[in-house]
Amino acid sequence: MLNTLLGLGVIAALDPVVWAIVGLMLCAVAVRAARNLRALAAREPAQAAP
Amino acid sequence: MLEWIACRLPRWVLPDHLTALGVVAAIGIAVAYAAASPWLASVFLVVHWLGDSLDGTLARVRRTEHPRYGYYLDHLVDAVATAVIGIGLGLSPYVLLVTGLGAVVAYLVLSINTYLETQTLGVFSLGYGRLGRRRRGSR
Repeated sequence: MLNTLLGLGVIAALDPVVWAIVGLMLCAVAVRAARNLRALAAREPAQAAP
Repeated sequence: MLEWIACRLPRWVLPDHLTALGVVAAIGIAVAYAAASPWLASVFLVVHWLGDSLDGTLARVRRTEHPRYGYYLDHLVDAVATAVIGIGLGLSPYVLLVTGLGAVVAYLVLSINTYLETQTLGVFSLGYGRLGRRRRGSR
């Protein structure tokens, strides 16, 4: 069955699927990082220069 | 279900044994993928999930938790297992090596963000959007 899938090129489609998941993961981190950085910036106001 | 299993494990089985089982199963997954045996890899995936999930549950059921020890060991082993499985997947005929490694890098970036949140915000959440666990007990 696996050889059939390989022959039909079904498994070759796995690479784009995995890369799509990788892209989603990195987007999720970017969104979360932006939210965290806003929260941290609000929590820690910039210090005045000496 | 995990608590049901943990309550029925023999006394000589310790949480660290289950952690080690998870590591061995992760190596098994990698070897099975590299050998183009997806069904065997699936069996090892179940064993890996059991070992990885049951260690903390067993410690909690027996009230032998070591929160910092468990947190450190659990996440270190998670990172190693992810790398091993990703490399095994990359060596398989199903995806390219660069794809397997790309998945490992993305997972580790997510993990690093989670640990940084723990340090800076005091929040430990493995969930992103509606996916993943919100909280996770340590042992």
